Amino acid sequence: MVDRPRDRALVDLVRQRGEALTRYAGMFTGDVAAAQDLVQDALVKVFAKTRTGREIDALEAYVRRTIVTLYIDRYRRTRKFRQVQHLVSTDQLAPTGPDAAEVLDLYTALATLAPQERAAVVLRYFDDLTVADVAARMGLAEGSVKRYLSNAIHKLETRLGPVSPDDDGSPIPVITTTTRREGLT
Amino acid sequence: MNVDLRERLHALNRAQVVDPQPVSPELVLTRVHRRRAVQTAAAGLAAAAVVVGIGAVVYAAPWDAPPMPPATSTPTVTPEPSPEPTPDPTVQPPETAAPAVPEAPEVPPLVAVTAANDLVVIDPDTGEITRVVLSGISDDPDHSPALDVSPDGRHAYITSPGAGWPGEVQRVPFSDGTPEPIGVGGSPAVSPDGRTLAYVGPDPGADPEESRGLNLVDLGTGQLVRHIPDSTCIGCGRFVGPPFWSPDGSRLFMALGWVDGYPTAAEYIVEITEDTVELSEARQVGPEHVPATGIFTRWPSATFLADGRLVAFEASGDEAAWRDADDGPGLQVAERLAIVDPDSGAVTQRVALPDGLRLAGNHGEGRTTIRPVQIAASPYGPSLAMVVWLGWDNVDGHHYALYRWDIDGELQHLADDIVAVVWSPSPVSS
Repeated sequence: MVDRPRDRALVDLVRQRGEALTRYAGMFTGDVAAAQDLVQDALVKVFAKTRTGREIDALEAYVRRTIVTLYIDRYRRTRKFRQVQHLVSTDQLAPTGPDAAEVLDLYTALATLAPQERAAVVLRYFDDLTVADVAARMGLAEGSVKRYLSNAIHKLETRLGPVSPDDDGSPIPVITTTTRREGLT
Repeated sequence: MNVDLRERLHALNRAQVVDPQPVSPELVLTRVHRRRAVQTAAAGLAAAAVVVGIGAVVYAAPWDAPPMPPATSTPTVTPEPSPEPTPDPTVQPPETAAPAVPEAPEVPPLVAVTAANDLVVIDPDTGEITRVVLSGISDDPDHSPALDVSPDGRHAYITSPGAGWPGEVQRVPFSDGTPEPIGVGGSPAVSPDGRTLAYVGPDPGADPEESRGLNLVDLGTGQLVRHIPDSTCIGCGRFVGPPFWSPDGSRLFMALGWVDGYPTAAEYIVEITEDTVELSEARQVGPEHVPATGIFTRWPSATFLADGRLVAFEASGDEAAWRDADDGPGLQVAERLAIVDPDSGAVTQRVALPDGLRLAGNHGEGRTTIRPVQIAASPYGPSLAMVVWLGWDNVDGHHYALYRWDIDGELQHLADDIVAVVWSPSPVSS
């Protein structure tokens, strides 16, 4: 079954990078089981395409992008992530060292974010993307991303205390809005 | 002291308790194989392509314009997945009846997009490219090349990809091949009276990445006169096929489904009437989908025959029915044409596809699966043209070919490397 080059590339990617991909997906889902499902779905989506390459690094990058896309799309389609956030359990964490308590605090704080806010935070501060790149990855306008980041930081600060200023040295502005786009299902 | 969010996020990433082998490669591989099979069988994912073919000889084809049986007196054939992808025994034989279609003063040409992204005119009898109208529509290999031709044969309407979705609908005069922008979107369809252009595009004034619906433009004024939003899904992987008009111009139809390509994803034709305000409320025409059974029937491409009947390419099968072959597992899919009464939505006849298409599709990873990516009917007869996906290989990528089928007549290969085609309603301007 794995004689074909594309299938072999898939197996190699899963075996070599499956854990890293699941950790990455877990940054969005906050739940390891959901992360595993997300990774599996992303792999299927990528490898079902007929023009997939075979370089492990390129494939991993592609799968990571797809993880983000699927996470956002699922939110838009079902909003189930919002519904299951309360099920998140810290049993899935085993932090060690002097920062263990702070890691747990961040884990809990991230669970309070809306999916779009969480995605923006992970892409901006974990993947180190620029705001413009985050906007492109999420399919949003830059202004929307800034608003999500601002709201997210505001929520995180209520639990974690002040966070570091953004790269340009300016404090992250707090923008609150109650406007919500209707029609999403 | 401020929290260093970057550092804290990386610490959280490391702290997650993850199985060293959290994902089973075998399970993923199985799902990939199944999905490839379904994609191949169900067609239409890329919203690519089209077709057509016709000639005077077509008018006498036996299946030419059989009278429409009343829906009440002709029970709909229930789509039953075949264990083998062979003609369904329930397929009714072609009927012979007096045609009720207009006489064609001159056989109009095919207008097509090639794999090299050229807009060309094709002789429907020989498959010869008689003219290149516009070269290099796109250098994007994933470009969706849907197109249409105005009833007077003066303009082609094409989709230029721009920077990806939503792209741009352009009008190209056959006289000089110079494109002009019409609107943001793709998959244009000109109404039979030539006055209105329908195309898939974003909500006016909205973020193009966040919305998708159907736009209607008055070609006389260039003004957007109506937008029909797709409120069921915004930017989330919806498959929205090219719209097409009923012959009298009173109704619009389009295929609708989910890009996921799983058998559980419904895909059918929706009808949009003057009173309909949202796609989600449009009337479904086509097979009822029953996800729990694993049996699926999909209509990824459809068009109107000249006599007013709707014809849809139909793929159906049972998600649980798999075959084991030397080159891996595959999904058993039955493929055929469904002839539909557009008023009742009832299937009045099913026609098996010719064996030649099955052989043509027996390449590479396509194996024995046929994939007509688009069907289009002659405006003067019941003859169909099909752009067929033949397969894929590592060197040249996807392979497509253009076929013409007179249903009960002989299948004719017209040309290779054609990815989209439409039958011009009239001879095109020189």
